[in-house]
Amino acid sequence: MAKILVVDDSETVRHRLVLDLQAAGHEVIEAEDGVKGLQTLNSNQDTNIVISDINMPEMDGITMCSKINENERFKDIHLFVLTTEFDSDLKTKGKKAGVKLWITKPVKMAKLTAVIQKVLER
Amino acid sequence: MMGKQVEEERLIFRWFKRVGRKKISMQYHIDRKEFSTTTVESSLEVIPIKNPVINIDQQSHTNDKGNKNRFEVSRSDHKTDLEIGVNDSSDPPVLYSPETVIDSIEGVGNRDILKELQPIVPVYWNIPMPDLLEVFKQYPQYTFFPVVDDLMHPQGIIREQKLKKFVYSRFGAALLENPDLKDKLTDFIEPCTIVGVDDKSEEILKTYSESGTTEGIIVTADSKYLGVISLRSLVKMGHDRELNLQESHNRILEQRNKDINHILRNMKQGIFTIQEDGTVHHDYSVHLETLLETNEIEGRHYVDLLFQNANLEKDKLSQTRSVIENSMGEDVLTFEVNSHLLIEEYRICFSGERTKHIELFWNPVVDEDDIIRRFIVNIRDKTEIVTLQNNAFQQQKEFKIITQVLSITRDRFEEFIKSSNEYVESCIALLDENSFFEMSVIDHIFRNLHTIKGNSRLYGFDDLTNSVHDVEESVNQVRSRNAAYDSRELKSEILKVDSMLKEYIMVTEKKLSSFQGTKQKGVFLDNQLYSALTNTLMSEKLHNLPDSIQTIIKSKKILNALNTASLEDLFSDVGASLKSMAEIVGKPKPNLFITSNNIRIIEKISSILNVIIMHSIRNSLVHGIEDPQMRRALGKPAEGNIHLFATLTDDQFRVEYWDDGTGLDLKKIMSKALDSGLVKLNKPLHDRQIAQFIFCPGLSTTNDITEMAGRGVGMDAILKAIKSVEGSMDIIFLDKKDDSSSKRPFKFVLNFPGEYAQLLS
Repeated sequence: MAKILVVDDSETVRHRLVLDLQAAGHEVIEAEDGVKGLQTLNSNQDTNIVISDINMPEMDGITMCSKINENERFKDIHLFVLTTEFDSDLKTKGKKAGVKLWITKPVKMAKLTAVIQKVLER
Repeated sequence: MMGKQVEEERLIFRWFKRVGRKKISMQYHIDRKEFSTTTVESSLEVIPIKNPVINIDQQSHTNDKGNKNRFEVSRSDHKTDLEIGVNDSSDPPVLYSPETVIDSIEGVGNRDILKELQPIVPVYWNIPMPDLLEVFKQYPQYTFFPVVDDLMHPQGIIREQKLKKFVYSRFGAALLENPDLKDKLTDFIEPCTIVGVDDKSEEILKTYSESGTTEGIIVTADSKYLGVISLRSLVKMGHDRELNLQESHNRILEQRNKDINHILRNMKQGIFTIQEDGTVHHDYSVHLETLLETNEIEGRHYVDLLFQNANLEKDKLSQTRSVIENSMGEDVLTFEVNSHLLIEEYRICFSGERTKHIELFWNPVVDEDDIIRRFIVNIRDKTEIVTLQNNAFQQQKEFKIITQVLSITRDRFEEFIKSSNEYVESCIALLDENSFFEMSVIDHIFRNLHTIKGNSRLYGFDDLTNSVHDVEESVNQVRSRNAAYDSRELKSEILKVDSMLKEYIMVTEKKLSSFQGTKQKGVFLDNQLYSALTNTLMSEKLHNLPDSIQTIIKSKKILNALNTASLEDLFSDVGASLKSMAEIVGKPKPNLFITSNNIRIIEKISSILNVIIMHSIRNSLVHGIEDPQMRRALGKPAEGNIHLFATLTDDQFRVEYWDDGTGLDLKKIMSKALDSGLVKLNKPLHDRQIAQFIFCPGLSTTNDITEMAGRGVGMDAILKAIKSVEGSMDIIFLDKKDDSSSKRPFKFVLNFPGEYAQLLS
């Protein structure tokens, strides 16, 4: 059972993730871009995991993760990103920003929930 | 000086002692448990121990006190006793006998220890202090001596250091001479690590590293003092040990590498490693070259190596790359959450249209932080398996066809094939002639297909039936669209039926070449005819010519009937499919009542009759006969009853068919007829007229398309068939009402010219 923040500008993707994660027993909050993501995180500091898309308006996912990673208060939050291809530049940036897990779309919920479980257990 | 020497593989101890003026070297061979002595010429120092407890005098055998104090010099092949003597009773007895000590060693002790062991002769705990100083003086190279008690149990060590206050004091020596000296030896004894000669080296080293004294350790055997191992020796032991360990590790590693290389060279699977930059490592299994048909492997990018000649959807490749390249250097969880996207099977195209089916397994290799450092990929050639699977599948299909074909006679099968082919050909011809939309053409095609399907179903050719059903479906879609169709598209659909028929023929010819069914050479005399013939002939008494003539006439008639069938014969095909037909509609198997009245039916119309009866039974099951609950409610038995009744007069052969179901739903027929535009509502119609509508094509009173009735084509085809042999078909109601608002039970009456049947009197 974790508190998860889902950040994606596509409503369909976001809602699907939210519902599936809730069905798996987690508490889920959402935001539609990087800026709102940070705001939501500030008011929900007990969040454990952030799952974020990369390409979003206002602020992209990697930048958002980077800002979260810099903040002392949020250093224990696990950062997951949703990606569609392989891009070594992106990977390097992501690594620096503290991204822990790269999830390629389309997401298979069964696997995601299993991995979330493992991350929480560590 | 005391020392040791390793002599070949025998380990020995050596003590040097001065005996009188001679220096004797005493050796003890541990293996042989033997003492030997040699005289040593070198200026080795010996202990001039004035220790009263050890008094070695070569000449004396027994001292004054009568105690044994004997030392004999002997050659190495003799056993030597050495007993060091017992002195004055005022002094504590010395039981130090190397023999007894060493005898008590079980086995040969730890070789490493024995190699390094220095058997320094110890001092006794009650050695007077001046003597102790003397010992130290004599052996300046030793900074300590082990101390033992009377039973040779080590007490500790005494270090020279501790004696400095005596050594460097002006009065020190004098103090020591004083027997009333408060300081006893025991005050100077310091503890020392004690180990057994059988202890394992690693334990000894461990114990020493934890608590050892800098001088070294004392080695005991059976708790008795044996010798000392100096620090230097310990270090050497440690070093040797390490070398040994390294050597054995290296050997193990070497062996392992050999094994792995052997596997890599010989296994029938392709294994290779993807490194962090995506290229292939130079260690891979040799079989990989065979699988991928190239020896350019090392250093290539894995995508290039695996997928260069593959036919893949672009998307799949991109996903696989994403998974592998995103998770390389990342937590293994990144791989786990995405692993379902990886390509696991694909085909490589080689030159000349040759393909291989390849199976892929991706295995991440992680370090101690669970970060993926590389991937080991395992590929397998599945082509053979896939081919075998296809073959097995094909064989299964053929087996099914054979079973189906064998369930009917060869005649019937050939007839079915012939008529089905004709139907197919006519469809193709129609399409060739009419490329533009023509509803009647579509209808005709539809009817033909439906007939083929009906017959196929009758004979239980399930695969063919399904195939035709699918084609029917597509044609029906075109029909309902009521728009232009693509004649080539339809043609290719119909050709599917054609190819399916060909498959049946091929299987029959290939596998059932000797399949004759029940047809033998010659004529077939069925039971009815046979018993009629035999009865006629056997009852002939041969004493009355007119009677005999009658017999001959009768017999001739019977023989004439050889190529005819009885009504029951026609039903023999039906019997088996009756049950399955009833099951499809969820009703119990109906009862059949046949009254054939000894009528034999000419072959020409027997096949038409067969089709008619089959179709009628189908209709009865679907429309006429109600489901069992309703029947029970109406007081009827649960199973339906179907009747066939044949009569023959000079000019007419008549077959009547009826069931005990609900009858014709005239209201429904009427409304359907109105919907289809077959009639206009100007004047009321008699029931008889309404009933005639069922012979119109396109009129179906059920809406769902099942495999059974319900396509609205059957009856008109039947009527057409009957008319083609100059017959007729009527509907006769079985009740009296004439009000078209309810269902009326009825019977079919089929009339044929009398010549198509004959009586078997």
